Parts: sequence; structure tokens; C-alpha cells
Amino acid sequence: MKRIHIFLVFMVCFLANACTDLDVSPENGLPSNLAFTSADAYRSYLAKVYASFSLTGQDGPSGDTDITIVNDEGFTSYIRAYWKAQELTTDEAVCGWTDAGIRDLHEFSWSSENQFVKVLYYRISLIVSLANDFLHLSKEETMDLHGVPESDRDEIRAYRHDARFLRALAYWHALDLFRNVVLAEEVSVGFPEQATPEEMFNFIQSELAAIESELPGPRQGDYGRVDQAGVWMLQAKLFLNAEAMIGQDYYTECLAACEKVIGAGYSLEPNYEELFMKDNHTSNEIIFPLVSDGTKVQSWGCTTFLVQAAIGGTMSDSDSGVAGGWAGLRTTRNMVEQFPDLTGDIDSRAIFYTDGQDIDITDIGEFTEGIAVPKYKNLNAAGEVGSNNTHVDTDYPMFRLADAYLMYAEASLRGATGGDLGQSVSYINELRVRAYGDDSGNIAEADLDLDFMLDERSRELYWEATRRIDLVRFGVFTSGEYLWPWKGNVQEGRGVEEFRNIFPIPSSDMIANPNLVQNPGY
Amino acid sequence: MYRMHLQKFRFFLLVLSIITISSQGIFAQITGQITDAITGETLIGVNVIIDGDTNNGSVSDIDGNYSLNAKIGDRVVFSYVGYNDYTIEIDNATGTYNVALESASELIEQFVVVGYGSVQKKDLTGVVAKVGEEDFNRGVVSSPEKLLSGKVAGLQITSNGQPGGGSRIVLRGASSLTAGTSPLIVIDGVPIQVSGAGYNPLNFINPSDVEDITVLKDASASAIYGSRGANGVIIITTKSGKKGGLKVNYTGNGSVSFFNNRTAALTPATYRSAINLKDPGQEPRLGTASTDWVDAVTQNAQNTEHNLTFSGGSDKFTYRLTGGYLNNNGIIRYSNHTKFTLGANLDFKLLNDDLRISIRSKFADVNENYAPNVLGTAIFFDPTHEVYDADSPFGGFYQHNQELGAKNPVSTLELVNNVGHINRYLNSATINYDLPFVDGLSLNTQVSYDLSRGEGSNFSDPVLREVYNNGGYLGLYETEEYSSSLEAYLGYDKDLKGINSKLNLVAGYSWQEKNARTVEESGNMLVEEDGEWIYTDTLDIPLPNRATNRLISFYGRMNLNVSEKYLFTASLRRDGSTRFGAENRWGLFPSAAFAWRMLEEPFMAGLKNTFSNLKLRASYGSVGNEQFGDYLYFVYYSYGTGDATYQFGNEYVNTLRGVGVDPGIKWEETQSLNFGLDFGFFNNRLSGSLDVYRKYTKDMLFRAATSAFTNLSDQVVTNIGEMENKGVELLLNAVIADKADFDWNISFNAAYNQNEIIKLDNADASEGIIYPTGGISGDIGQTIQVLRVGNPINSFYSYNHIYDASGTPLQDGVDHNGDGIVDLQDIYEDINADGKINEDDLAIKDSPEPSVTLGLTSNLSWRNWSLAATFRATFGNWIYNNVSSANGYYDRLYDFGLNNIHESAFTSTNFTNRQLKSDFYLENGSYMKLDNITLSYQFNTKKVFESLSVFATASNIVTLSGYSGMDPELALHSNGIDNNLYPAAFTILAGVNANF
Repeated sequence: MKRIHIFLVFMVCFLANACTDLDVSPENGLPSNLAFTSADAYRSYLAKVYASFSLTGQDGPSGDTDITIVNDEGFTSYIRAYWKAQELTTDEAVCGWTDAGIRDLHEFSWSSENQFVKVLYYRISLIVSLANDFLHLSKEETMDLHGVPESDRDEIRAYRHDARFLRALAYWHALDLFRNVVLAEEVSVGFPEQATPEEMFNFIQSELAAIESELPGPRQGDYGRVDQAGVWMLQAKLFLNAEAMIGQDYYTECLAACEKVIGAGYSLEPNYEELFMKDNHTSNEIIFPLVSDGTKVQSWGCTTFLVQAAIGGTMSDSDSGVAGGWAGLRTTRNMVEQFPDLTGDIDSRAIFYTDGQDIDITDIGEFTEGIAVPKYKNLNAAGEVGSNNTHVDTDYPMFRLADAYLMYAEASLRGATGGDLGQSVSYINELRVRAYGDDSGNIAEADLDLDFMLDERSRELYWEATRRIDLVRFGVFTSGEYLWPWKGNVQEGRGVEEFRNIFPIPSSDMIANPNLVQNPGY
Repeated sequence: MYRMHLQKFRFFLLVLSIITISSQGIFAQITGQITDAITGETLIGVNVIIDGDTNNGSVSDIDGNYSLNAKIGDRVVFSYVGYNDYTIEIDNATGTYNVALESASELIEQFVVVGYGSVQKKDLTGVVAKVGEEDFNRGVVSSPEKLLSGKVAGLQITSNGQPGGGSRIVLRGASSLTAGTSPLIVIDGVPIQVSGAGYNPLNFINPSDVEDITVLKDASASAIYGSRGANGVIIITTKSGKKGGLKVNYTGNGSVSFFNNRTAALTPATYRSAINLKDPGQEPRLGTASTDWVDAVTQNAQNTEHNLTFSGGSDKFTYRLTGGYLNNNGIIRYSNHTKFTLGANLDFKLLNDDLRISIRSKFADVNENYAPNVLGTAIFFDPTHEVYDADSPFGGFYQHNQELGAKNPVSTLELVNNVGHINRYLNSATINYDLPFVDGLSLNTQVSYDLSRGEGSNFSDPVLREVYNNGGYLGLYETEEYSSSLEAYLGYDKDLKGINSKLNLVAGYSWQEKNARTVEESGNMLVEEDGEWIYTDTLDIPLPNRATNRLISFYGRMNLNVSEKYLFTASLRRDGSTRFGAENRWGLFPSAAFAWRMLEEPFMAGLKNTFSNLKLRASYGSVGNEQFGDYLYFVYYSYGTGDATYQFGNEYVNTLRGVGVDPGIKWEETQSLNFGLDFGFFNNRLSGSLDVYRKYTKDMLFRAATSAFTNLSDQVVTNIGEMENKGVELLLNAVIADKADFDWNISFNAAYNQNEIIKLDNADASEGIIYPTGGISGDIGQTIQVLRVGNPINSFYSYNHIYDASGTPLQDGVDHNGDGIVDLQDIYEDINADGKINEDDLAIKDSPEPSVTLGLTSNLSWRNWSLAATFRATFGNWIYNNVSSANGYYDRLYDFGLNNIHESAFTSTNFTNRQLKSDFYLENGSYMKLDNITLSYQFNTKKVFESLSVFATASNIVTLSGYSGMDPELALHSNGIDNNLYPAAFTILAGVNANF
């Protein structure tokens, strides 16, 4: 009896001593020191930073989302959100859906609660943080700590340049869209203050300068990864918009960057339409794509959104290589009237669908009001459908040569040192010959002015997420000088407050970080 | 005052007795007087009957005198509420038999389990409610918590109509946002992880094995469970065997459930005219049929249940072995919950009863058919088409042409097969050893092992329209969870005679670990191989997902009873959890309580005639909540799936992502203060308690936005603020009649609770901080509720619709304000007057949680009959009618195919476009419900059966409510949002209970 007693007491004491251990590690993931021990892991992390521009999470097309602040994973696609911000706010696009806040974009009534503004902001923030984390983990001292073998390190060091580029690209979008954001170079805990636009501009500029010579030459690297030409394109965009953003003239630097791109061996895709088709990864015009693949790179955003959301009314989904359409996106009278006709017979860039579509919009909610734009397709020129008829194979052309031509011309017009208007005209005419099939659409030097540039950019680059920034740069985004249907929520359009040239800092971040100052007007 | 009431009450009883008792038969007459054994006071209205002959009885008169016809050899039973029965045997044909009855309250020591021990009810200091089998809800009850619904003040248990469905359990208002709000469930001493496969992880407990359920409501009672006590504790005790010969019990029942909710869509005829009127362009799409889609997807569901029990034992060993079977069908066709349960409770006494060993073993095998809830689709599917269409490529079912349109609900029901199979074992052994040499010292040890295994498959036929383009869908999963625990504590009882006190001490250690593993795989493009479907296009590769958590605790408690008057309790628990970082792992949870049994004071002696109990209580405690995910403090990296890669050159590289966290998250802590009064009048003929409480939760965990550009995630679980619940609870038990052949008890409870968010985020943050919650359907990504300082959690947040003089909301599409523009300003109030209607114009509205909940249970028995009924009511809860908002507008008539619409478009709103955030859809969800009535009859037979009774139950009988949608109680289950909920059924049940 006593023995039982002693045994029990002993057992209890033994367990009490042995079992105060609370160190438990997850078995479905790894802490960083175990995860990052070889180049393969770094490669996968870099793939994540890239994928964050295209995908929405770790499980395609949805299921393990990166962003949780809005409750639909499809909304959180970077390009879907970025595209909406650049296009739905302009004459180039309307969306008939009723998701809370989506119509506010076209109506110029968005608030700091708007979920589409919010998701764009947090997507940019996420990319910056992922890149910062990657850059921390790939520091020499971190690699020493993790025991990454020297033989793997050169590969990892090269990845750092990609990460810095992607961070600069994300910050460029932040500068354009939100103007005053936190400039962070590492993952941290705390409440940082915002950088001034000049600080942000300088940061992007210096980062791009630092990595320019480290990256592979144009078309020399892996498809999907950035090369020197990608850096030059981003520099050109940064410099072209410098005056509008920080009030300083960088047109000469812009011109120089464009010249580098133009001299890098790219050529225009002979058939304009194929730039937006499933085999566009073979194009020699696209400088930097965001990759999509119907089976391996799936999401409800990126080009899948651009193909599917544009199908509705009497359109046949199979004409775009998908099964189904989401009946959302169309364009306004203003945009289609930039073109000589709606059929594309004269200017083949006019990829419109007009059957049963009314050119005028009285109700944005009706898909059949406004002209439909099946510009993006999940087909190739031969009509072959992509690998999946829901998620498209078509890559998103983030930068392409035609834009470099147009930026060259605009920088020249805006007084860049060394700018050549004759050369500008011939670049533009190269685009127009492709569009018209012959020189019938060619312009003369006398035709080339800034108004023409704005219109020509729309004709060439419509639905490529550049319209808002162009209208801002030309000073007509908010003003009453240039109106389009339902601008400011009236059918004939009206001028709106100038502060809407940039978006508000989402209220959720104003709450989370007490050091932030809201953008004026919001 | 009291005296007068007492007299009236006695008179009332007398009348009642006269009505119910009639004398029959003439033999000899006996007489006598009945008095209180202690006070000598005469007792009026005492029942006097002859044992075994309920037709022959009498009651004592105003002087305590009685007379009765009896014969020699009869046994006469005297019974009176609050007193012990007294039996005499007649040996004198005309004798006088004076009887002195002993007060029962002085003798019966009712024990209540309180966690790591039990105490006498009279010695309780905390707020503890015990519900015994006689008060349980009847009907088709698939899990034990459903026995309690409406029975305990402040305990809200709401379930949906899904067979085997889960329950939402909230005690004294939700005290957490992110962490669970369900009380800790303890089964026979083992704290249960309420997780695992199936709709409801508690299903494995057969409700008919439950002896009683104790609810620890305040922090002083629950603090002994430390970090898991914040939401209270529900302690379930299962039945054990009793000394005696083998007893066999069989209970069984059969029942039928009916779907009796009216649906709010247009009739086929009205629907045709609506198309004609509102969207004539769509008329060619109309069919010629008049299909009742609701009828096509629902059924009158039949259920059966059998339970067989063997029990018995000796002085040293008792056993109870039980087996159960439940087949529970749902109102939606195919939905089914079938369960086999086995249980063995064994109790041994060794070493002169010093060593007591209890084995508790439970097993359940559950099959679930999670048939898709297509009721919402069925209500609004185009009624002009037939179910079948011979030309359809979609398995012969009619479907709209448009891929994004609504899908034929019958095809979804027929072509989807989503089934699961769950096994759960819970085994525990408890050793109770009174240590020799030290009087009053005992060692209690319990080990337990809880294993839950689930597997399931979700199959969609390749011809199903929803997955036609993907060639079908097949998802397979396996889950396994096992928890093991060790509890060991020393108990010490000591009579401190010198100060006339009794001391009880408990000190212990607890260790509990849970391991979970899930594997999921899924794919499209199904092909049939050897009669089995396999997928050829992989969506998710089967990668196991594992998690482990551990909770280690040290605890102690002291109970001190001074002179049977002053009761003190103090407890302290230190918990360590793997769910926090190294700095925040350990939490300390103290509590203290005091109770004063006032009637024991000499100066209260005069009240003893009126009061049978009077106890004042005060308690305070601090408890935690750790019902949330694992590794929330820890940044870890994991790989993505093969369909979420990124292309580098010719290679598709798997992505690796880090998950952002708040490394400094800490315990959510609730401090609770309670004042209470227990009372009993007239020998507890009327008893009850009144409690006032305040629960204050600090460091509330919530998934909140991080400061942008600093973290790997946009939102992390972090401590964001403070919340308060305060309320009042009243419990009344009335014994209206207590006679040998007529008993009537009524138990009534009422609770008032008010919830308020006190603080969110940083100390200097303004009141305006708003976090969206409450996702709704009708459009992607919409929410209707918020968290805001100064308001209850999940308060509704909507536009102020403008109403006309008759109270009708202004219809959209009309320039009401005459500004020449048709926009939302015509129908919604522009709160900030900025000329725009956007998120800034949303206004805070009411809460989905009731402020008042009521429950009433009546148990009445008369001779061989008994009748039990349960009522429930809530007041002050609001419901967002998402069924109406997502379907009640004309544009919905055609939306990728024809749809029926909610009648509100015609009867109230005239909306053309959906107005999801209009406050028109917020409705008062208060209701009163007659939940169940059971009528039983006990046969007078002792030949074959020791006892035999039959019973019939009707459940979910009447609901009174102003709410326009389906059952308002269902919406309580889903946070006040009524959206395609599984309907509650009206059920009729008949059963038998036999003892051999």
C-alpha cells in the first residue's frame, strides 16, 4: 500500500518536472533558419515576390490568400486592383458590378474605406515587405547564420537584384497612386512615418541605378524575370512623370532611358492583337511580363480577370478562349471615338465588340451599355485555346516597346535635351503602320503635339493600365477641361476635386499607424 | 407581508389538493395530526396516500389533521414539499397515527461538481447552475449541449436544423472577437478540445448517457480552469452504474420532421406577370411548367433512435454499459447523420474503499451526409421550367444557358455526394486515493486519451453544371486529432474544530497536449476507373498539415467554511501555453469568492419560517481565453501548391511564403465580478437566485491590420482592445404542487446582457475606429457589421434609407430629391453632407445579440401521466434579412438566367437594383418559441418490466415573432445574418422507455 503511495507521488513529481516544456514548432512550415539553407529556397522565395504581382495566394486559383483585409481573394490580385485604379477611374473603362466601392472609382466618390483602394495599397505593401524580408534573409551574415554553402551564394546574390527591382516597381506604383507612403527597407515592428514624394523618388532612382548593371542584358535572362531593359522602362516612367509628381523636370533622363530600350534589340509584334493573346510570351516586343498559366499559375485576377470580366451581352465566350464571362467591363464613347471606326478595319487596334452594345451609357450596371473590349484573349492567332478555359495562359504585358516609342516622343515634345521630333514621328508611324496595315494613317511632324500624344497613347495602350497616370500627367484627370460619361457621377461628366489625383491612405492604416498623415482632401 | 402571502399560498395549495384528490373505497378509518419534526408546527396540505393505490388519498387540513380509509397491512405514505417522505404500516384498524415530518433541506446534501472536486450545493460560493436529466430538452437530440438550450439563465445555445449540426454556445455575452466564445466543455473531468471532423465535435457523446450538466458561470467558479475559463465551463457527467442486480434499460423513439416554413418567392403565376411587367424582353426564356423547387429538394424526414443499457454492481464494483444508435435525417433530401455509440463506465473500490478507480470509455462511429443546402437556390430558381430536360448535357437536368446563372438545385442535390465518416474515442481513468496516515489527504489522478479520426470525400459528377467545364470535382480528406492529458491533484479536508470551521485544499498539476494532422487532396477532370472516380487534373496535392499544442498548468484552491455561515473560496492557476512567444507564455489567473449564509445567523432565526435559504455571494476572478490558432506568434515559411507557381524561364518554381505575425501577442484576459443572492421560500417551494455581473475583457485578440510596409501580412492576430459585458440573471424554481400523484415544477430563467466595446487599438485612437465584420451574400466581399468603440460587437452598419410618410422605403431609380440626377442620394441619407453616398455615410445600428433571453421549463405529472414543456424567448436582437436583400429587386429577375425574386420587391420596396446595405433589411428578431412538449405515460406493470413508459414529443412547435424571414432563432446561430440557413423542422416523436 505504501509502495503505491510512493510510486504515485513520484510519478506526479517526475511529470511535473519533465513537463513544463512549451517549445513546439510547426510541422507544416519552417522557421527561417531551417527554411533558407540553400539556393532553391531563395529561388522559391523570389518566385513568391514575383508571383505576388500576378497571383493572390499560395493555392491556385484561390484558397490560401496573401491578403485578408478584404474578404474576396480574387479582388486581391495586384494587377486586377492596379488595373481598376488606372482604368476604371478614366474614360477607358466602366464596370457594371455592384461590389461595394467599385462604381465609386468611375464616379470619383471613393473614400478611405474603399475596398479596391485598400487592397491595392496592401498589395503594394506586401510586395515591399516580401522583398525586404528576402533582402534580409539573403544578407551575407544571415546566410552565414543559416549555413548556406558558398557554392549557392552567387545565385542568391543575383536574386537580390530582382528583389530590389520588384520593390522599386511596387514603390513606383505607391508613389503614383498614394504619393505619401512609408519607405521601409526591412520588416519591422513599429509605426514608421511617411516619406516625402522626393525621398521616395530618390530612393527608386538610386535603387534602379544600383541594380541596372547587375542584371542580365535585355532578353538575356530567364523569361519572367526582369533584365536591364525592364529597369530602363521603369526609369523612363519614373522620369516622365517626375514633373507631375515632384515638380522636377527629368525629361532628358527619360529620353535616355527610352533610347536604351529602343536600342536593345526589341521589335514590334507584327500583329497588334497577338500582344494580348495566349502565346504572347513569344513576342519580341514585350519587355517585362507578369506571367499567367492556365494550369500552373492560376488566379482570379491578372489576365484571367481582363479576359473574363470583359465578356457579356451577346458575346461568345469561346471567341475569347474561355468558358463564361463575368459581364463587367466596357468602355465609353470617348475612347472608341479616338478611333476612325469601331470595326478595326481602318485602325486594327480597335478591338471592340458592338453587337447589341449601345455606345452610350445611361446605366453603368447594364453590360450592354458601352462598347465591349475583348482585347485580351485566351487564344492564339490560330484560334487554339489555352491550357484551361477558366484560367488563361495570356501573360500581362507590363512593359512593351511601343510604350518606349511613345515615351520617347512625349519626352521630346516636353523638351528633353537631345529629343528628336522627326525621330519621334517615325517611331509613332511605326506603330501606326502596324495598326493601319500601311502608311495611310501616318502623321506628319506638324500633327505631333501633346494633345495628339495623349490620344495616341490611349489608342495604342488602352486597357493597359496607363490611362489614369497619363491623364494626371496631362493635367486633365480631375479638371473640367476633359470630361467623359459619368465622370463625377453625372452622365455628361463634370470636373471633380483636384485632390483625387491621388488616392487616400486606407483608413485601416490610419488606425494601425498613428504616425501617418492622410492625403489632403480625404 | 410574508405571513399574508404564506397564508394565501397555503390556501391555494389546499384548494388545489381538494380538486386533485378524491377518496374511493371504504375500509377502516385512520386519523392523526402531522407536524414539523423540529418546530412542532402543524403542517397543512400534506399528502396522505396508500402506497400502490394512487386513487385513495387525503390531505391534512388547516390544523394538520387528516383522516383516511385504509385497511390493516396498508402502507401509508405522507409526503410534503421540502420534507422527507414518511411511511407507516397500518396495524390498527381505527388507530391514530400522528406523524412528525423531517425537513428535507437539512438532510439532503446535494453535491455539485465544480472542477477538481465537488462541493455541497449549500457551500457554493460561485455562480453554478446544475441541470439534471429531468429538465433536459427532449426530442431528436444529437449532441449533449442541445439538452441545455433555454435551461440556464444567460446561457444561449442555438443550433440550426442540420442533422447532427453544431451549436453556438455563448454564456453571459461573447467575451472575445477572434478567440472562441464557447465555454470550455469538460466531460467526466476531461477538458475536451471542441474540434475535429464533422459538423459538431460533441456528437460523440450520446445525450441519453448524460446524468447531469453543470455550468460554471462566474470567474470564481471557472478560474480553476484558468486560461480556458473566460467563457465559463460546462461540465458534463455521464451516468454510472448503481449497486444492485443487472438492470437493462431500453429507450427508443421514432420521429418525423416537417419543413413548415413559408417561402418568400413569387408564385409561378405572379412570377410570369412580373417578367411581363418588369423585364418583358426575357419572356421568351420562360418555360411552361410550374415547378415547386422547394418541394423538390425537401422531404419529411424520418428519424429513429435506440439506446440499450446494462448496469448494476456490488459494493466494490459497479458498471454501466451502453450502446446507442441514431439515424437523423434532414429536411433537405439526403442530409443525414447516423451514429453508433458505445460507452462503458466502470467504478471500482479497493483497499477498504480508500482507493477508487473509475474508467470512462466512450466511442462513436458517425456517418454524415453533408448534402448541399440548396434551399436558398430552390426558393428562387425559375419556377417555369421542369426539373428534367431530356436534351440537357448536364445529366438530363434543366439548366440555364448562362454559365454564371443559378444552377438547378435538384441537380446539385443529386449530383453532389459529400460524405464523411468519423470515429472518436475518449478514454479516461481516474484514481482517487485516500492517503493513509494523513487523515483527509487524498490523491487524485486522471489520465485521458481522446482520438478523433475523420475521412471524407466530396464528389461532383462531371455532368454537374457547376463543374462541367472542369470535368467534375473530387476532394478527399483525412483528419486525425489526438489529445492526451494528465491531471493530478492532492485534496485535503480538515475540520478545524477550534474555530468551528472546515477547510478544503486542492493543489494540482495538469498537462494536456493535442496533435492534429490533416491531409487534403483534390482535382478535376474525373475519369471512372474500375467503378471508382479518380481525378486526372490535380488541384491540391496531398501535403499533410500538422499542428501540436500543449497546455501546462499548476493550480490550487482553498475552501473555508466558518461556522456554516461564512464561506470563502480562493483559487490560483498558472497556465503555460505553446500558443504564445517565450515572453508571454505563462499567465496567472486568480479568483476569490465569499458567501454568507444569512439564515444561520441567530438574528435571522425569526425568518426561518418564511425563508428556507438565503445566501449572499460576491466573487471576483481573472480568467483567460486560448481558443485560437497555433503559431500565431511565430513567423514560418511554407510552400505553395503546384497551381500557384511562378515561371522562371522554362521552369515553374514553387513559391515559398512567410506569414506575418505579431510576435508579442499575449493572453486575452477576462475579469469578472459577480454579486448574487440565493433564496428559497416556504421550504424551497419557491427558490431561485439573482445575480449581477460585469465581465471585462482586456487585450482582446482580433485579426487587425498591421502598420503597412512593416509586416509580411496585411493583417495579423493581435491584442487590440477591451470589451465589457454586464448583466443581470434571475432564476426561479417554483414547486406548484408536490403530491404523490400530482407534481408540478416550473423553472424560469431570465437574463439581461449588455455588450460594449470599450477600447480599440492605441490608447489615443478616436471613437470612430471601425473594423468590418459580418460578411453577407448578394455580392462579392460585402459586410454589414462592424466593431466600433461604444457599441456592441458586430453592430449592424448600414445606410439610412429614406422612408415616405407611410413608412415605405423610397424606391431607387427615381429622382426623389429633384436635383436632376438619379443616384443613391435620392434614397439614402447623406450623413456627412458631402454630396456623395459612399462608405462614409454608413450608420451604426442595433446589435444581433439579444439583450434579454428568457427560458421556461414546466414539468407536470399527474398519476401515471407527465407533461414537460420548454419555452424560450429573446428580445432586442436584430436580424439582417439577407434572403430578402439579395433577391428582392427586379434586376434579379434576369441575372445570367432567369431567377425568381423575393416578394419584398413587390410588397414593400419596388427596388430595381439591389440595395444590400439599406437599413430596410434590418429587422427586429425578438421571438418567443414553444420549443418542445413531451407527454409520457407510465404503465402500472411490474410483471415483465420493472417499469415501462411511452412518450410523445413535439418540437419547434410555435414561434411568435415580427421577423419576416424564416425562424429568427436560426439567425442567432449565424450572428444575426439570415442567409440560406438550414431550416429548423417541426418534429413529432413517439418513443418508449423500458426497464427490465
